[in-house]
Amino acid sequence: MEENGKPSGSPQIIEGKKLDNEVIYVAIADRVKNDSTNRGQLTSLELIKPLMQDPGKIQSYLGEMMGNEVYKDIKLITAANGATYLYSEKVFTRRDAEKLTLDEEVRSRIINQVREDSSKKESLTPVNKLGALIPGAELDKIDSHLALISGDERYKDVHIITNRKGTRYLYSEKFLTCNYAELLARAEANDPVAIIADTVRDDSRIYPRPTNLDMFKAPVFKIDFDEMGRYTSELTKSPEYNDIKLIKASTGAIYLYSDLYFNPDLAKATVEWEEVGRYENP
Amino acid sequence: MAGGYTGKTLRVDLTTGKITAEDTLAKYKDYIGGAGLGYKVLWDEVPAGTKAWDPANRLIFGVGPLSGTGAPCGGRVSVISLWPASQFELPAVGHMGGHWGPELKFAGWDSIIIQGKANAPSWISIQDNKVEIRDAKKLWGQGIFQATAAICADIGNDCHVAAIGQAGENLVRLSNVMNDRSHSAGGVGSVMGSKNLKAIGVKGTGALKISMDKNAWRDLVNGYLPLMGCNNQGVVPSTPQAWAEFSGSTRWTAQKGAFWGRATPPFDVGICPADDLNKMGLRTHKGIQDHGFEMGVKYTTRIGGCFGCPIRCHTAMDNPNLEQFGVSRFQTNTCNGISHGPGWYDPAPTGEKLMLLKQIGSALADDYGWWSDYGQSGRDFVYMKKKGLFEKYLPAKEYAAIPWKLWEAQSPEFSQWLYKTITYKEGELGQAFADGPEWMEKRYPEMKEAHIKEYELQSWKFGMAKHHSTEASGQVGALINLMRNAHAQNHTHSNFQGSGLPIALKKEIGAELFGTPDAVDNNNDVKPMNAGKARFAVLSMIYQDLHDSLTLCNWTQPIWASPVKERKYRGDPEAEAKFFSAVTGINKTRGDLELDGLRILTLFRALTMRFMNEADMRNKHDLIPEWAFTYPKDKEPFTSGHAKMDRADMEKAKDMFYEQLGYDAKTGAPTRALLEKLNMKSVADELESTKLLTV
Repeated sequence: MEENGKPSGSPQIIEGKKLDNEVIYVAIADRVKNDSTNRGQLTSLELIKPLMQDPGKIQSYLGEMMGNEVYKDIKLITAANGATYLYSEKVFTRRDAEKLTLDEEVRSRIINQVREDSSKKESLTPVNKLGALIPGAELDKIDSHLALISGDERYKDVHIITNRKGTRYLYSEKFLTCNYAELLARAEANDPVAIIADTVRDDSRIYPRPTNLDMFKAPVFKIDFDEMGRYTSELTKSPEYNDIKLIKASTGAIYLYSDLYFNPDLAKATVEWEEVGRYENP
Repeated sequence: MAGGYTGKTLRVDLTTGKITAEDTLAKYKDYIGGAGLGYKVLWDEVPAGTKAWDPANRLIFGVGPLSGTGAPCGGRVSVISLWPASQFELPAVGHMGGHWGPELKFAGWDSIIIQGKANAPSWISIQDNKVEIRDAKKLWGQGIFQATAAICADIGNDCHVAAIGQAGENLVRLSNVMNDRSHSAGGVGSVMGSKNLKAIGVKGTGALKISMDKNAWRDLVNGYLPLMGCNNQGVVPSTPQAWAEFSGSTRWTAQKGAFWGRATPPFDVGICPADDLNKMGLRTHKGIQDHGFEMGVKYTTRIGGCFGCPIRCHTAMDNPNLEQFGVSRFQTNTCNGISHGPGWYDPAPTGEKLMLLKQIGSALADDYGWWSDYGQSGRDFVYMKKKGLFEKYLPAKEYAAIPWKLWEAQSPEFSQWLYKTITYKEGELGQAFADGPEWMEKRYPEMKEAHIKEYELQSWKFGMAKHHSTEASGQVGALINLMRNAHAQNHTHSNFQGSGLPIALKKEIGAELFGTPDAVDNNNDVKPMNAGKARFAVLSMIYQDLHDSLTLCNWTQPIWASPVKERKYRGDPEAEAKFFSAVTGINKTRGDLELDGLRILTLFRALTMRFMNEADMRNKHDLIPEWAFTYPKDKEPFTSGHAKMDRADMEKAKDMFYEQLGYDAKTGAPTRALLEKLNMKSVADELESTKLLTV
């Protein structure tokens, strides 16, 4: 069933129209049937709340709905962690639904861990450590869990990022921006030369600006700054990074830039502005 | 009565002792307040030929309708007069922050117009409606700190005092008036001195009316605050931080380990994300911005600021090393207010010596009431030293008596000697530097040539300092600088350019504001002129005058960009109009207010023409220094790595700029058509009668 061109079961309430309860029940039922039939998943109560005018009365709505013969195939099930879901009995048996709640629990634990890591520790959650986080989880199902997470609007803040070593991480953009997560993922690769090069290339491309070497003292990079001389030496000698150039300001400060995006004159002028000009022009 | 205004402008005639009140809106409504009101007073009352120190000159402390209302960053005062430091004594504006302006409003006054000359040193006491001209014999000859303390002891510690020091008293052209310890209005101190006026102490117990319903007002302010960035409207932090998509060299210097090292106990400002509004005042660790991380952390006690400002940008510092020089270890100031001190020395000082020279320079200047003219004096001094001009122009005996060894040692004792010499106009050197860079051009022809040709002197025209010129947005910065009569002091364009956002975003936002993404160049990568850049320059000029008239802070506004990712980093260009309408109840759109700003700017232009007695502003006033076209020597315009301008391109820039302003392309003067459109027919008539209006 479609409403205003939007597919039924979509959590888009028809704007400006007073909805009577029947319309809400139809929308819920459509959503649940769609999830059960087409996605093979349970429907979280979180996902149907937006369909209601007054989500605080969700129990009342469901109570009425369940008492209606028309919706007799729509069933409730509560997981061990207390989360409640709906499913269509036309698609899933009770046993099927119970198994699915276990999967929901796994994903919920993943999400909670990711959000906690992102907010409290400002760190990424390694995908290859998820098994250790969730005892008893079936490790070969991790990827299917991740696929379902990425399609679930409850978890739209959670993203996967892959560093140059191919290691995957999860983060929540509620607490870490995409660019910051990128820096963290680079740092996890534990390849200081690559960290420096990739960051310099980004700075030169995006802003554009040369990168002050002192920036790599920031904890996000996890670089031993005492070794910076060795790293920059490797960097400037490596064919892989032959676009990365070193430049010294008149103050002695050292910067790096990528000549893919910066010519030497502009790099020099920008560096002098950063070190001298902007202090002379407060 | 419109909200925001008290309705009364105070007029004090120091010659006759007459104190009167005028209806602010009846006379000045079209010019809003602040600088606009000040320009209108000069236009109506000060005839051509008047000089800055003549009793007939006016000194206007102009406070706008938003100041004191709690509108964010509404704490400033514009101080308007004929400018003694200008070699033509043209009209200009000093501005000061602090709390003095709002206090004047709480006392029931929108602005003060001062005229005449007292027959003895005087100060003005304003306690609500009670205004008196008081005897200042015991204050005269004292520095600003002592004078302020004496007035506070007299009328109460809750008063706010705008005072001059010995520099203003001695008619040092480069002198200022200061309030609240570290907030100065440059350039106008000697106007007060010429009127025998030492200070104005204000105490106000009233309140201001805001027209908008209080809940709606609260929502307006609370809706605005999240769009603010840091000092100078940087919208990204200066280091990579988890909450921020971008980072850059902005003044959002808050980070872990950014201590106020001299606080008790030392205070780590830490991370201050954009959505934590309780930490807005911590975003800018100005000590780090002005002095580098190490020194900033080491010497900062706290960061202070002006009335109604959530950002805070004045660094209070504690350096015990100062006490050996007989000055307080506690100093407060910001930007060039503290960085002028080392500017006298060559090579440039570093490390602890640099800090000491900064702080002692600030201590001396803030008490003497000397104004640095954005560091121009220091640059001139170093140049003259290098080129042997002191030996040439100073009497041999005077030259021999200068403690050059202290200068070579970069000793604070030299600074003490130098600031005193200038303040008391001792000898040729003292007199020359008291008069300042513009008058120095008349004194020493080599300096006139050097100001025009030598990039290192950073002078724009007539000897005045450049301020965010070609290095800040190429032609846009150049146009902004050429139009003013003192260093341009405009941050509208440089704030946007320095927001910290990637160039792609700045260009997107620039396209929305100025009509084309090409209005925005990378720094030091100037592209040819276009109409968008002209629009950028025009709006920067208009908004500077609007801020100086509403009295809002041009260092934090306009908010053309914001730190809010959900808004795609857009700010709110309607903000000034919203606040004006909300406070006053006079509904104005952004377009309406910009027209008011154009009126104010155009009146300033007409004033300049009158006092310069010049119709051809384009060629006689709107000058560009030679170095802008020749430095760096080995580069061509429109290549990367510098801000060298092209002559033909700058002529085109002027053409486009004047066109967008509605001025005559040939003369750069307002046309009659524009003046009449702006409801300034009488201005057109007068300019025509004096043969200054050609179109």
